[in-house]
Amino acid sequence: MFKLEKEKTLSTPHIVVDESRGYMMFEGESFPENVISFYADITDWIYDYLKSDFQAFTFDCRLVYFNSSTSKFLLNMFAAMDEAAARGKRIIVNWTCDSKNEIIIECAESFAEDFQNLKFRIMRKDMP
Amino acid sequence: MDLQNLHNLVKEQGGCFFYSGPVLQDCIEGMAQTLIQVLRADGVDMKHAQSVFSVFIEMTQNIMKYSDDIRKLSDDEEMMYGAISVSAADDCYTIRCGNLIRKDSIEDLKSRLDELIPMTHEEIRAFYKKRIYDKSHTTPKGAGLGLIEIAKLAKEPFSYEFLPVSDDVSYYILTAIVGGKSNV
Repeated sequence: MFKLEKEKTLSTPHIVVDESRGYMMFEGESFPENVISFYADITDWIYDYLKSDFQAFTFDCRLVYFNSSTSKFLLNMFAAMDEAAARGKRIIVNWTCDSKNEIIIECAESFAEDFQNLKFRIMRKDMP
Repeated sequence: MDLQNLHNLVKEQGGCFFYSGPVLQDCIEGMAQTLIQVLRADGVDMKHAQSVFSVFIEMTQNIMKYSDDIRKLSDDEEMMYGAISVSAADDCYTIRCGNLIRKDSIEDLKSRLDELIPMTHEEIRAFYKKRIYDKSHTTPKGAGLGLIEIAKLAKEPFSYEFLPVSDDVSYYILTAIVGGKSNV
């Protein structure tokens, strides 16, 4: 089963993927030099996974900033998740961010609006 | 290099910092961290700080991807040169980027810039949404969303210049004003 952990860097998030638990988490910032190659191993795994037989999948998103290329990557991924959810799969997206981070909240709301088959929960937290 | 004159010039123009040289990912990361500290010291609220940061990242990564001022490091490694400046005045930040551009690339870039300049914020948002869903615009370097993102975050339409340098090269400058109480 696919398992991945990437440590946080100045321009890439802390990533945890655990297929056996149906869980994926991104935390931090995302502006790598090359978004496609940075997220290649996740991309290679997730599109097949979403077509497979799984119970439920949770994506915990705690990104505080992401560049436009990452936005496109997220969009494509949410689209694939949404398709799987439309086929009856239970897919939860927990988006946690600072209540003052209006730009990220707006992005999350836009994704939630576009992909209504997903159980999208936007959690605004008061952070110092 | 007359550092004192440069220091005075940057200060006169409300400069926070200015960089001209190779724009590598490490360099962008370092400048980004520094910019966060400067915004913190200036007491900027999160929404505006995020806007300034975002524009900064999109501009510097555009230099890194598209500058025609290239120095080869090895068979598959290159360094792209460009310049970035951040200056503050009246509760706004002016972020400016510059790099050499081949004359045969100007027309294409100019048409993309001219397409965005007359748009309202709502039109830019809708255009961004349309472009992000469009599979045909994806290239190995990206989906061409960076400029739209900059337009989206800027307080007012951005401005640009193409200054001739030689027969086949010009210097491209993009200026965006971000932040301020009236930012959308």
